Amino acid sequence: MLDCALPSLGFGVGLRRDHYRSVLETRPPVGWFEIISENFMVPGGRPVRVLEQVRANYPIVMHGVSLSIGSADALDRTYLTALREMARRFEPAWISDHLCWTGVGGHNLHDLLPLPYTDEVVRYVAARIRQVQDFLGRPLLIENISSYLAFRVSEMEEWEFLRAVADEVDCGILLDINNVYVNAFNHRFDPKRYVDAIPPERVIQFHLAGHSDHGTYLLDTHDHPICPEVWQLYEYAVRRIGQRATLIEWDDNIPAFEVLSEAAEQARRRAAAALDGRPESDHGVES
Amino acid sequence: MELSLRELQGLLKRLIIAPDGVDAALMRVHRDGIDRLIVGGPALEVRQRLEIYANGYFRRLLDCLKEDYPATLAVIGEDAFRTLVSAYLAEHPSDSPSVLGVGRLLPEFIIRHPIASHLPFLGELARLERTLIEVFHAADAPALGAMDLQRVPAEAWPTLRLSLHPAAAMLDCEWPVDELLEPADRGRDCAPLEPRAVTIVVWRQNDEVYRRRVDRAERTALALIRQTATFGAVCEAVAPLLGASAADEIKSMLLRWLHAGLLWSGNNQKC
Repeated sequence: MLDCALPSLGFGVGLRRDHYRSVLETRPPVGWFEIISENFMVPGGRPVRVLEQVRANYPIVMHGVSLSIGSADALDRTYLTALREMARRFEPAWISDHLCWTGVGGHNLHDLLPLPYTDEVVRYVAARIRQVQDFLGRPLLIENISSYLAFRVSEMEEWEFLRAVADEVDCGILLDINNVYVNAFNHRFDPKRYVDAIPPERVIQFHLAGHSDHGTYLLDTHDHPICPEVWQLYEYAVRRIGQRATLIEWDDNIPAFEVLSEAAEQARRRAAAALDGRPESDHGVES
Repeated sequence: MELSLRELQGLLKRLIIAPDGVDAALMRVHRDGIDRLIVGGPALEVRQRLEIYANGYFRRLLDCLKEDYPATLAVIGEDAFRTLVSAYLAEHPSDSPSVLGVGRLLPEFIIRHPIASHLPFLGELARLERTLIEVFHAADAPALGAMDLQRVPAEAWPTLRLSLHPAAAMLDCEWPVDELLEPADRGRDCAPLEPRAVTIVVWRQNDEVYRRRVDRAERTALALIRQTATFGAVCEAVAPLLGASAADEIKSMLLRWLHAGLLWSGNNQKC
């Protein structure tokens, strides 16, 4: 179901409530918007109307946080039906969610929790992704998460698990560069090794975000500017994988929209420079 | 220690959402057992790794409920709100895909909580705040307009059935809790809030949520409309409450509803 004809969207930002007015009034020159699907699973009102207006002017991608593809619970048909209805209404370029579990026993933890990296879980998750894609009638991209623990039962590295699931399903990957960096710090591995292991043809989209440094670990908070090391890893990923739709995520301490659009513009400049073989820069690549 | 995926996730869930914290929850499982499940390390012990998730879980939902219930928070303060939310989440772990649904049952929880014994209005305040959220997200539907009603022949008015708009709600409160909604009002000592029955109508128009109190006659009329009574029945019920000016008052009421978009231009207004 990996569809190489998926459009190349360029550089976008996450659509957040704080920016609704600014986006509608100024129609900023960003390539696309990513929405958190669950925030629009409401009967009506302003968010839905804003999304209608945004969609009239931009491509959108629906990014979910509650699919819980790795949960031991059965897939939530009510949730999937709502997702399918949203997709029919707003025609996103694609739908994505995380390679993780978010709840079990009927309860949602509203967090992205890691899975044991085993062959058995690869097969389990892959079968569920197939079910979701069949139900939605659309490709689903899976995204790597930030994590703070790992299981002894794991039989492979995280990047091997991500690749194995994508290969098993034949689905695309949303590669979150910040999550790779955060996990490399938290689990002590070389982030470039992770990027090197991902088949370029599987990667449809990149995520870029900021994190918080807690000394002994990094927390994926999406409340800071993208740090120089993550920018460098992004440039590395672009050289290794190629230019892909790239999105700036910012979910807390949300700054003015211009800060996000400038980050998207910086991603564009850095990607172009990386592809041209120009030297990396920690402080922005001037065009 | 080989667990099924369900057992492993169930165990992690219990550790993460434990209201008494990860340490206490770990006492209920074998600590050695958890060390055989999760990789520790020199930088972070297994307990600390679990605490990252546990702290994130509580902080995330606490922040969400603070945003949903700002007046309730302001009345009882940060510490009491945190304690209240901890107890609430222990009894009602989220079963909603969206954080928008996490606080759905908080008003009813407050009404049954010991805090209601010294702040008896708190449950009603939370219920009003929840209603504001639900009206904000309620289904879109065309509002009934004056032109729609002008097309109704005079002889059809007695059997006309009006409908409340889906984005409109009416709350009967024993306390004037709407006085506590505005940030400027919350700073005052809440103790003087005296019980006084009020009915509050909440509705959405042009994506903004509004509220106002209604008197007994308007409450009676809107309650009957909500029950899909005929316009004739509405007039019969409210006329005795309005006296000699009943006809004019009912007309004014109707105009107010039309102006505010309180009525739904659905099929139910057919004769």
